[in-house]
Amino acid sequence: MPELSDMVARVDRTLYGDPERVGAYELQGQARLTGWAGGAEAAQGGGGGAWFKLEPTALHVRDRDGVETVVPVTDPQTEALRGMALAAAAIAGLGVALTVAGRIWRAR
Amino acid sequence: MENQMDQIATPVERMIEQFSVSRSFGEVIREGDTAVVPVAEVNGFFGYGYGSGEGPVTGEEDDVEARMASGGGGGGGGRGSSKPRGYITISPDGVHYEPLMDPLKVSLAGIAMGAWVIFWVAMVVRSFMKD
Repeated sequence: MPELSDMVARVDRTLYGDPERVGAYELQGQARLTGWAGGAEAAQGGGGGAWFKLEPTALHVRDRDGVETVVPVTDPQTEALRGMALAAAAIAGLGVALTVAGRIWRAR
Repeated sequence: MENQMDQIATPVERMIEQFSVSRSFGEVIREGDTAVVPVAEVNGFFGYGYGSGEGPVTGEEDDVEARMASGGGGGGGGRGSSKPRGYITISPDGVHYEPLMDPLKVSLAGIAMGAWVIFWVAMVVRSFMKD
């Protein structure tokens, strides 16, 4: 029977929606689909599973003159929390290094 | 092996096809000169499995085939969730994206960050202090 890990695949696609006209603008959404999918099959059974995340990334806006503007769809909250988590990890690393240095200095 | 991959890929591919951009960009809501497009992040997972088997039946049947029994079954499940990210306003002034923020979550994270810094400063100072 094949191993599940043999059939795991990463999914990473950029998707575009159908253009839609709203007032003087034509809008087209752009999103990123990421995730993992995998499974295993054999003569008498099988199974599989997948995890997906669909994130809006941008909105393409075309005006009547045909000029296209890309409005990025950001997530400042996640970026802020991620930044804080990275800073916390860096502080912990620096703290451990300084604590060890302090103990060595104290022992001398 | 390739055939097996195809069999697996079919339900997974079917699921992937369900994720279109329209899941992230909601329907346009119009109000006068202004239109609003809600924007959300979508997460989902699913799993499925099936099996079948056959074996002998303890009985008195003479027919060999009648002494064999078979069965099979399968199932699956999944879950999806959507988290609002913000909204896009379209007006004669232009197109703007307004992200949504949860002030409580960011504030709590900031307080936790402050406590974390104080903890590590105390640890470092303590490690340098002579007994």
